[in-house]
Amino acid sequence: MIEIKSVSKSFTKPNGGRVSILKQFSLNIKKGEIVTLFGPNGCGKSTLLSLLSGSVEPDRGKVILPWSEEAKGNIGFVFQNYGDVLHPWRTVRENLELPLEIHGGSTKEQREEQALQCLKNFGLDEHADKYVYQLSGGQHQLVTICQATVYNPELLLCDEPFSALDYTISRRLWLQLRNFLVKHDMSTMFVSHAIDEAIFLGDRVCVLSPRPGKILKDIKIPFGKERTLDMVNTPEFFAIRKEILSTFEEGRKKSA
Amino acid sequence: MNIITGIILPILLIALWHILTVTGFIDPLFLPTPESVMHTLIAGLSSGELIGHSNATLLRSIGGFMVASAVGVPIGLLIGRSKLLSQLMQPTIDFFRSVPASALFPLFLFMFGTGDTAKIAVVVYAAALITIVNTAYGAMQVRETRIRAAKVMGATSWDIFWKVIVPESFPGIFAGLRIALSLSFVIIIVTEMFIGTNVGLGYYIINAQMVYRVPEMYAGIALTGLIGYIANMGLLIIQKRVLHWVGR
Ligand SMILES: Nc1ncnc2c1ncn2[C@@H]1O[C@H](COP(=O)(O)OP(=O)(O)OP(=O)(O)O)[C@@H](O)[C@H]1O
Ligand SMILES: [Mg+2]
Repeated sequence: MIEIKSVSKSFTKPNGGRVSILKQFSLNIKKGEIVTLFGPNGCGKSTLLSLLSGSVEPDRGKVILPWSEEAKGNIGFVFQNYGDVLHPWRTVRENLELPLEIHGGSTKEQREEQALQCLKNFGLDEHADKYVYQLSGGQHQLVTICQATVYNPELLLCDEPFSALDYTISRRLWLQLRNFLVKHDMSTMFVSHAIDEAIFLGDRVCVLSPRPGKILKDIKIPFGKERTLDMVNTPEFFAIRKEILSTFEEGRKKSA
Repeated sequence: MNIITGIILPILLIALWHILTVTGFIDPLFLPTPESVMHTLIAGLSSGELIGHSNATLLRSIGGFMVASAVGVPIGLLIGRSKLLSQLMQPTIDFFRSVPASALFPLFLFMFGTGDTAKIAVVVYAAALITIVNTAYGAMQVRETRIRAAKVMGATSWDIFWKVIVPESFPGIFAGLRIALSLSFVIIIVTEMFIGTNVGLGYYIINAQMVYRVPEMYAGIALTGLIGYIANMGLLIIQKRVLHWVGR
């Protein structure tokens, strides 16, 4: 289990004052569980992922991960500013080989094979030998997802990874990503501003308040592990949608 | 770059040169006809005399350039990635960057004598400075997100240096090396004019000048320009292949 234990984080404002982003924030992710975060801009979602990835230290509280600190390749991170992640001097396939090179213990052929297999899974194999600047924005974003998952991390952090994809493709990817995560029993924290996406992908949806981000409601999504796209048209889905939206609006009104 | 378009201006300049000299508008003692310069150049090349001088110059300037790159690139990377180092070095570098290398000849002569070492040392000094500045600038452009992403994947500082910082600094490194190479060539020729030697294009030009062998002087100058042009073309071709991804 991954535990965020009453973590607080604040940043220094340009004028010298402190602004509190997260205040005594706690959240657990069970092995293989997919938790989606749904909250307003600036409430601290990206900060929360950074805390989990270890690239930001909490001011107080702690993040407990079920593996040793030196262990490599346990976390995959799809960044919100995905445009600055891939290496433009590498081809798409070579970008996927990068984490494998970093982890070591594989031959060049094995890395190529693994990268190509991952691209196939996402229907991107025809772009393997292109450079990143030869991709469309959506394909670019997909490649960053491939790069973060090619090594099957224990924990996947996704910061709005489908924001540049058209509606049809993102719906196809909800299904594909969910199947992939379930198959690999990958624990996932997924930030989304698209409510249907948050519900479809999540085993739980956490609705967050405006800054400092608190969990207003932690909603279990009762659709089981295997899901189909027509689930978004069911009355249960609508009910959850309504619950999330009213919680979200209440939170906004309270902080306004 | 279109070669045909690029060649129009040189042809016009040579035509103008031809008209001005053939009509006697300019005294051949200051500027001989392009035909006589060309003739002298070809004769000098086929006798091997100019080849010998060019070789000496190229050897010295490339030697100096290589030392300068070996020193300048690592220092530039360090300065570009360390706030402390850059604050420490910036004022000194900016000071010396504004001092013409030729003004420091006496100092180099004092330290390295009058042989080739002094000449190459001047080149190393000037070329290393420009390489450091451009490399540091390139290293400052590295995207923080790329470093963060590599760290999350488990990259060590060593991985990050070689897989992220060095390639991403490459545009700056390359810009520095290009300027440094042409600077090395120019400076070595100047040192050959003023620091004792009897071989090299600089020596050839200044010697011809002093004994009023004007066509030879211009042949030396023309050859210098040609070598510089070819070297730059070569670097541009490499740049197109290696840095195809920049700015896209
Ligand atoms: N390094 C930093 N220094 C100062 N302030 C920061 C820093 N990083 C984030 N912040 C501030 O913290 C707050 C939360 O930022 P964060 O990126 O976590 O929000 P978010 O919930 O991901 O928002 P969005 O939905 O817009 O992506 C914002 O107000 C932001 O301005
Ligand atoms: Mg964010």
